Amino acid sequence: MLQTLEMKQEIKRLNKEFLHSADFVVKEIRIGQVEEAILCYYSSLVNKADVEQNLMNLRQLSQLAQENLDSVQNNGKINSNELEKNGNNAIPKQLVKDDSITITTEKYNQQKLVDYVCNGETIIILIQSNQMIRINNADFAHKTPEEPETEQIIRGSHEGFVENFDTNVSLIRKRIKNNKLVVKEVLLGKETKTTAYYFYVEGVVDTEALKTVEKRLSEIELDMFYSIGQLSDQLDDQVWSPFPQLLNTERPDRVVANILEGKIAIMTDLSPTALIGPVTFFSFYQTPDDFNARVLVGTFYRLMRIFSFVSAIFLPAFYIAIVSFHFEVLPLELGNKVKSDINQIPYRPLIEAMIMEITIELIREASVRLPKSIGQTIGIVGGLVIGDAIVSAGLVSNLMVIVVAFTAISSFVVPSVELNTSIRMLRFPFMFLASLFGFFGIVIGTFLLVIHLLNLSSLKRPYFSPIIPFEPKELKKIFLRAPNYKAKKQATSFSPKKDDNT
Amino acid sequence: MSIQLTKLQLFLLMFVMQTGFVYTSFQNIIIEHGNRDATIQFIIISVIFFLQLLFFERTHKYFVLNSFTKTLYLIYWSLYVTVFVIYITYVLTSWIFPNTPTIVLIAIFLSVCFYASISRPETAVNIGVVLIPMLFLFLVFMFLTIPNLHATNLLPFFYDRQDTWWMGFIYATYAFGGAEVFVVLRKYLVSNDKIPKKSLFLYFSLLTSFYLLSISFSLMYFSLEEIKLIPEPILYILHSVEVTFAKRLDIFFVYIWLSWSLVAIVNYALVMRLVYFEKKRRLPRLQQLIFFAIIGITANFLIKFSVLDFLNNYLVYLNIIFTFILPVLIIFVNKIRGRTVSELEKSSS
Repeated sequence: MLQTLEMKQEIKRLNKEFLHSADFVVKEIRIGQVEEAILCYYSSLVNKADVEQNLMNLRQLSQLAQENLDSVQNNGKINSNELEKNGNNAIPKQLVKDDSITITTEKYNQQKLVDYVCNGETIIILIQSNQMIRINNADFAHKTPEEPETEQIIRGSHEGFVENFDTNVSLIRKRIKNNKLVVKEVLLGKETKTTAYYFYVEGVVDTEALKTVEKRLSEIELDMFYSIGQLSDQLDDQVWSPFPQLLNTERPDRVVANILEGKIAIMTDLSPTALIGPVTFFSFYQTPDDFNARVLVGTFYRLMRIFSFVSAIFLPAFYIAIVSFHFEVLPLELGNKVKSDINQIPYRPLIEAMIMEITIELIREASVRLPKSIGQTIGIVGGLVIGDAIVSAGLVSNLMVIVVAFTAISSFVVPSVELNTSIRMLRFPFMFLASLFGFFGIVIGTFLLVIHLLNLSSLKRPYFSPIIPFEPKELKKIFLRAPNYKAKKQATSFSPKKDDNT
Repeated sequence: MSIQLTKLQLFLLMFVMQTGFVYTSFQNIIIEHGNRDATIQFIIISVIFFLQLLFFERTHKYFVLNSFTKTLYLIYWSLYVTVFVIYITYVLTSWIFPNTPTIVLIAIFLSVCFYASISRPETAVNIGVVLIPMLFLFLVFMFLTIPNLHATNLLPFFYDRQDTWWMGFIYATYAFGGAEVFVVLRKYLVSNDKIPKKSLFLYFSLLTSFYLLSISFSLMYFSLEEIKLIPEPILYILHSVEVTFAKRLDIFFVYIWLSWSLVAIVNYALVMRLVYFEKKRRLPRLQQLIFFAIIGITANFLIKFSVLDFLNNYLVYLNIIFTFILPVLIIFVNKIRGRTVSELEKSSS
């Protein structure tokens, strides 16, 4: 009677502790003949059928092997296989449903109980013996490993990460069947207690970069952690730079290729995105397609992508500079055509360019937010209808539409979404500089951009390698896809390692 | 402040500093004095430069700057950078921005140089790499003029024009100004082994060919009388080239040359930083800001054709002193005294 009263009070207390949450389940159960217990879990985080199954297992275990249950309570963590080995041959095989589920007992602690339940565990509190049994059968919602929409490739693996630790690790381990692949875990967010984990290959990893990652992860002091962007901000060397310093990817093959080069991949349970570092600027221009396609084809498209960087940033600025300052650069016939075209436009070239660029950005943003089917329609409406109407209305010249369309296409060539957005943003200051000073403004802007890129680092490693430090032999790898690709570590210092032989 | 350089980086730094702003302007003055013998005169001076490089390589350990010579070099380099700024602004105002106040132009491009200078030293060391594709582009532009060249203009006369002929040799030394940085930067090489003669020869050949190209193209394109009237022959050559994709190639070259000159200023500032900040000093950024401000203000006051003409005629003598004579003197004096760079480093540590 006393025990029942105590249990009722405890259930009440637990309900209060979990703020009477709708998905919090707490109830009395009986294990074996004598022991009464409290079962609690979040129904949203566990599979109810699994809970019932495990409960049944425990009851039968208790009935069949009371002695073994005692030893479980005393010895701490032990899984169902070990129970079997422990001498109780009477435990029927069907009771051990899943080897991945671990059953642990430990002394009952109210604060720990809250953590465990929030972590998706099912807890059985044995009031009489002041113990609790933890059944780790969390079943967090996540999608299946499908190819990420933002990183589609033509040839190669079509798998993608999900929001689940085990699935993601298995996708990596499937590709690196080696015990030197290390996975480490850290908790982020004092309140949210999010699990973050990082991968690297022992013996290959850049140890200094690894130390930097570990140091920065340990220094994160956040109460609430809810997005990969927060992690990226904490790990970046220069958070105010427009350039991403960690490669974002949802592709396991890309992560594997990078960690085999000595890099580190960092993930969380909240997102299928992996952050890879240290990387160089040119890492963002490589895709798995390069290595799956023919050597010449891979090389050609890599060159095209690098060219797209130049056209995406400079083309509108170049157009503005020519139209506003340097008309004499154009051949006579073209010059006359451009002149007659823009003579009809009431605005300065910068305003003209801004109208078109902002229209393109709005169309892009709208098509991202809308469902796929409507998104495509918006693209057509925006691209064709608005484009045509805006020219007919005399707001923008035909040539400007061509320039802006070419720029937009160029910016979407970049395989990385982060760099793509940075590049799109960077063309605006260049447009302003070009409208103020023509080519002189572009040169000054380029100079600033280059200095910024040379100063930048990713996990304290040179970002613009192999240009800084200058390694002519490595330079060709930026432009060419070599036949037998050999993984190579990134440059580790801004200072050159050894002298060249020239 | 200290850096580590590879041989390639050392030669890249030297190449940018030695070509810098001189490249567009020195052809007419050497041709004016050497006439059709200019190429021969230039080759003779380039051989002297090569011998000097060999000498520097053998004796670089004796190139120790005391506070007096350090000050002299810092003043000389500051003057050199000021002349750079004057000339860049002059070209920009005469070719592109006739109505823009010169101080605005100076402030813009010197701010960029200042940003590069307060960045990590490796940035200044490596920034020249971005010029490499531009140089190839420039060479392509130049080769487009081949159909308009007269090869017979290259044949030398070897006739005596008394004192003016010898001046051709003097002005040919313009191309090799900045060679002293070889001995200044030599101690920062990663491996302090000897630089092979082959590497020195390669560098010498590259620099000489690059300059020779501009002198010979100017000679082949213009008549001797024409060239006296043209201050920047390369720009005029490119101006008159007819290609289908662009009407004015010279405009593009002006900007290639502008970037090139800005990198040269950044590199000179780096050498000055290495010399000046060898001893730890307070507020390095502020000191650099003051340096660039003084350079900018001084240059702004001196942007006049008469000043440029004077500098064009007489800066070469300073060049000869600081590039060819003073380093040799410093080396000899220190050799006699037995002072070497390594001893100095030991004593300072």
